[in-house]
Amino acid sequence: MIEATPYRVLDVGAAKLALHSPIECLHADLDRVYPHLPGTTDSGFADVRVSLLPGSPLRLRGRQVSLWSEGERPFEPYPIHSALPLFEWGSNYLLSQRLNAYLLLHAGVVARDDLALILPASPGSGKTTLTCALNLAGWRFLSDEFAVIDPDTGEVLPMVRPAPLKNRSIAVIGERDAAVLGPLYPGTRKGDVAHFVPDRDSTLARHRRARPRAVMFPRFEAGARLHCKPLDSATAVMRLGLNSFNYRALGPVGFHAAVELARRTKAWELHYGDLDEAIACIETLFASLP
Amino acid sequence: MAEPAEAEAGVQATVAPSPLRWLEDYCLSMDGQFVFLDPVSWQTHLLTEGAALVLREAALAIEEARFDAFRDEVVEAGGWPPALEQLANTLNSLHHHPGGRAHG
Repeated sequence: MIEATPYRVLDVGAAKLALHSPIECLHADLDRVYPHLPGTTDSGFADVRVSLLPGSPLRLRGRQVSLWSEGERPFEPYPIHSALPLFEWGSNYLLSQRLNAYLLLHAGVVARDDLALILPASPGSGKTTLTCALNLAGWRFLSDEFAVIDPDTGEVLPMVRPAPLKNRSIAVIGERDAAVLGPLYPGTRKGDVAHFVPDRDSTLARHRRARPRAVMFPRFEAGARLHCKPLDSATAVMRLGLNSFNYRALGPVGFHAAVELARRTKAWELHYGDLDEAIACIETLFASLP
Repeated sequence: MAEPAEAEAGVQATVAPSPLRWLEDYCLSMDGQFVFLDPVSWQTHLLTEGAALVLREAALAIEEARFDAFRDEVVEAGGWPPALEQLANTLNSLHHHPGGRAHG
């Protein structure tokens, strides 16, 4: 009789991930970047169920690891020492395809007193760095990748996962007080990567929803002077749609969710070159909201 | 109303909203501009108040079965504002006649 394969289950808030892998260093790395999640094995429902399996040890250019899900291998293999980045990126991609009960924005989300600040942005705009820095400045970390919006209530659900810092951002965040980073993965397809570990309280609050209060579209540019411009709500709707994984797939549901989000929040565009200046600006604007 | 076989299977037939109803629900005023959800592509468009007014006139013409005449009027008046004809056509696709075809 064949025994059921044990899966390691990660309950990150809005979703459950189930992972099977015989690669020991992957589990050691997961222990480092998910230190506040209870380790469970469970054969119940998971939004994403993946296996990370090692390739042949005889491969001349180094051993690889592949991610399998639902009988498919959606990505090219990675070097075996980069199994954690493959799991994080791969499972995020799968979540972006599957969590269609919610409007999914490509955004960082932080909160104060359960009032959320949503930071939608395209890749390379400094969203992850800013989200991590805000967490270190005392904001609750809800996500660095997904704003998960419940279209029925307008609330945002946390998806508390380690945030992949790249290249220069690793030192920028790593040098801050209380920053906890996971292992460094040099020379991945996205450059050097190390994962920021959200604080324990944020992880423990991963099932506590927040009410969106403000939306800020950040854009980092080295040396840029701080510039923060209010956006009208129609423009905010358009930009929310552009920064969503599933806005068009949801059709009328996504439209109404984006319109309601824009109506209930204040929106700004933030262009910045200094992280601390940006944080101070955000704190001031957020505190000034009625 | 659902066909008996559908009702038995617990399936509800859905009826496409009329063009005017679509505009009511999916062409919303926000800060003096309008956001419009295209009923065919599900893309969202940002419209001026004037463009939203033209769409409303088009929807009314579609429901009164005079969309062809309305299009002629628009051409005589100098032509469609950029990209608006396509959006009017998507509204026309919501309108069904007893014969089963949208007009235009």
